[in-house]
Amino acid sequence: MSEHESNPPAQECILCGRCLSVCPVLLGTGREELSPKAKQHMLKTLARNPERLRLADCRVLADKCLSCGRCRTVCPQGLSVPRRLAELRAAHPGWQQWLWKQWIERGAALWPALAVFGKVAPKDVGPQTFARFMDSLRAMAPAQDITPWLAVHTYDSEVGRGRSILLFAGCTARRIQKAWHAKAEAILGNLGYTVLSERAMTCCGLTLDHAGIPDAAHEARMRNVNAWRAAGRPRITTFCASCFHGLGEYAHCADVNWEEGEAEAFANALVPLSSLWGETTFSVTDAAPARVRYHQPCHWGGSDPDKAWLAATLGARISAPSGVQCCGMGGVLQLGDQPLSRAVATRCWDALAPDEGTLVITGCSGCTMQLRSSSPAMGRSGVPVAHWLDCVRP
Amino acid sequence: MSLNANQLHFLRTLFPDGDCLTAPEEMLVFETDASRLNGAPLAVVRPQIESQIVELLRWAHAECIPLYPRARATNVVGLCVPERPGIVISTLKMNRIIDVSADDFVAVVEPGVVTGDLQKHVEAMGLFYPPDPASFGISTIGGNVATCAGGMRAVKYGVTREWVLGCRVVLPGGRVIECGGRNHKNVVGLDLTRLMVGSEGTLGVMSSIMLKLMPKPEATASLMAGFATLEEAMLAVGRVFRAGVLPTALEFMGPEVLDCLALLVPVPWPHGTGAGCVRAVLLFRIDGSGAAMPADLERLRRALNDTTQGAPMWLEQGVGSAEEEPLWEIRRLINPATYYVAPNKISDDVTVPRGSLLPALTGIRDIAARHEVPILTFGHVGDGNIHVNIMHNAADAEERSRAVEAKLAVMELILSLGGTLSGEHGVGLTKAPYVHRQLGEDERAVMHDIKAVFDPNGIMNPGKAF
Ligand SMILES: Cc1cc2nc3c(=O)[nH]c(=O)nc-3n(C[C@H](O)[C@H](O)[C@H](O)COP(=O)(O)OP(=O)(O)OC[C@H]3O[C@@H](n4cnc5c(N)ncnc54)[C@H](O)[C@@H]3O)c2cc1C
Repeated sequence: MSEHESNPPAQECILCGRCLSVCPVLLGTGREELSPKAKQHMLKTLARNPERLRLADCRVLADKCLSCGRCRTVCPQGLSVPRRLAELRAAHPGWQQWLWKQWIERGAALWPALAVFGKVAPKDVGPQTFARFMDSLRAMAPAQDITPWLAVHTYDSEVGRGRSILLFAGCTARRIQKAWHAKAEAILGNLGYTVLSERAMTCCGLTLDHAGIPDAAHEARMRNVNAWRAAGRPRITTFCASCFHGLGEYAHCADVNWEEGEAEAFANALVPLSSLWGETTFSVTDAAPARVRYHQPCHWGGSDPDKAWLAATLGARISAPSGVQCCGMGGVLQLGDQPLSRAVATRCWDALAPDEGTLVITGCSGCTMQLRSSSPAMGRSGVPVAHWLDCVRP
Repeated sequence: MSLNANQLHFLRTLFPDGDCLTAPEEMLVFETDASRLNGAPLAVVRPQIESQIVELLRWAHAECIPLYPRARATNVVGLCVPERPGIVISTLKMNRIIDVSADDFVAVVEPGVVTGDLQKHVEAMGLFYPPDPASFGISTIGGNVATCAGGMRAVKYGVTREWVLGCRVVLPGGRVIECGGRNHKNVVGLDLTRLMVGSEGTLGVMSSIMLKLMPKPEATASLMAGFATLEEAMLAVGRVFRAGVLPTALEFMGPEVLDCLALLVPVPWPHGTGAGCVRAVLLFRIDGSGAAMPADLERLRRALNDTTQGAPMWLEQGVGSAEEEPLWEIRRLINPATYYVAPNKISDDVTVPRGSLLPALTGIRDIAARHEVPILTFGHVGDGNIHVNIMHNAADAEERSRAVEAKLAVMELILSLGGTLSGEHGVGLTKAPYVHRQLGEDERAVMHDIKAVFDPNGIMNPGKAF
């Protein structure tokens, strides 16, 4: 019996091609060899007939993935390419992974310094890649150009009355965008919550995992779970789609020493910040931009609480492009292949189609940074990009 | 076999900037398609404009190098597999919608446009491109035209063939021919457009395609009907058509399919084998004007509710896509549900004249009993297209051979009823060994002669189709 007549094992790609329609890298380039399907086929071939391929060349292709996870949501076999690639990277570590590890693990010391340096670095210095690298660093500088225009009118302070909550701010807000952290804390306080210290918590581990550094990812997960335990297993909230996704994965991680029923309790404890407003009311001030375009982070994976809340609050003022739009931030691609990351970003901006009065808002730290660094010129400056927290006046 | 330095130089010059792949790692995925068969590409090229295709076909014709047009590679019969070493032509960078005219009711597109993207685009203008293969979101117009893809809406609107007004085709040697045009009627000359539709990449490379559009229907509604027996369901199909109702889509699910669906999800109909239980389901969709929809639904219900032939014992209806979706979601779950029956399947998409559906379905049921293998039947029953899944455990050699015998028996049955081996998936590599059972010597000889006019050196997708 030839292979095509037998059904594939449960965990094997059937080459149906569904993933091509959601993969930002394929959609941005038209290069089928970069599609999730191609990567699955490559991994299968590497496992069965390693003599056919050169590992070094496979790694170059493998790294051209944004780790957005969209392929898994449409795969009839439930396969996750980022996960498979992470396993490959873990077995064969390389330089980009090392760099990411530096960024994230030593970020507290490194990032703010880089952000300042990025801000003062002249735009025309150095080769193209250096300029782009600086662009992404510059984006990490605190947002100063957004005047909050969505004022909280009345808080529903019953939402959190008598409850404690952990605010998981994530690497970006802890280190660069400290204003987000402060605002989120204020909002939770006004909603009646007692906000617990998250000092013992660290990176959610998602990026470490995708970069193929499972040990560091495991360590991060354990530290966060232990901090949650020590705090008395309270609710945890976050305002970053990628952190939410990263923490949401914990319940499925066999490497966490979950007690009976504890993984489920953790999953249930995790709630997005934008779903906690209750009956809170808002008013839009005169500082509001003429047009608001919403960028949907890949990591909401289909159900997007930010979008639902913003649509209900802002009505016709906000709109979003249709189809798959990825900012191009994810994974090791940003460091490994900046031109490709740019190509994906360009497609995203084409769909956002900003004009002079447009503000782009999103709900993910990574997306905010990437969109800021890739924002096209518009009038005298680039198109402003905000995390929704930037717009809120608590 | 491999390409020599001159040949590589030619390709790299014609396809610069990463549009010519020759590294095994980069070419790997281009060796296969959704059939999971394998071949051996010598190179992969990605044209962005027609003139690159012209140069390529001029050269490949002279060099006698096989060429394999490839879009999203979702075909399940091996059509994109470079069985003989050759060059794969990926059309994914030719994906522009060139022109949509609301006056001419015409769309002109490059072959790599995804069908669902075109549909969304024209629907935003109040226009409609009806062909809707289940793969509409993941396959292309070029692929759909080259395979004459079918879909759910084929009952009312026909298959892809009905919607192709013309195309530009680059032939081996570099000639470019223009087939058809923007006219909705055109009887001048032989119909080369129809020849291209369903040609499975064996005649030339289409560089642009002209499609017919229609106004978008205002409203849709769906009705799911459960029957006590297969026979009653098939009689109801006849009644509906005789009553003058032409559904947009009409799907059928047999008793074995209902059983495995019930293993996967809670099904809405009364399930079981006792009295009062549903053993066959029909799923209708109708479309038209919003004002007429209630009356059309009522007419459909009246045609179904014939007490002498066995009225449906269970009905559920949905008006508008939000209400209709859950009904169609059940239909889409069939594929994953089949694996609850057995780990392996042989699947075919045979088709019979509409009037022969009942003998075809009961005949298949008898074959299943005779060969002691479960056979699931479902599909686009509105146009006589039956998906046949022969379920078995391939690890058991004896069971496997019974399944293979059952497949041949189904083929014989279908041909004896005047049917066809494939209604939409095509021949490709997987059905090529059986084509002679359906097509006579003379017919195949004429087909080969026609191919020789287009492609005298036989370089276009060799070994496929006929
Ligand atoms: C989940 C799933 C559901 C499906 N459902 C259906 C269905 O309901 N109905 C149906 O009919 N099919 C269905 N199919 C099969 C498949 O989607 C169709 O055959 C589709 O038309 C193939 O389109 P493609 O873009 O993937 O083309 P490919 O598979 O890439 O190519 C198909 C053929 O077209 C030729 N070709 C492509 N572009 C050109 C060009 N520019 N010039 C000349 N030849 C060209 C290729 O050489 C090849 O022979 C399904 C497949 C899957 C995986």
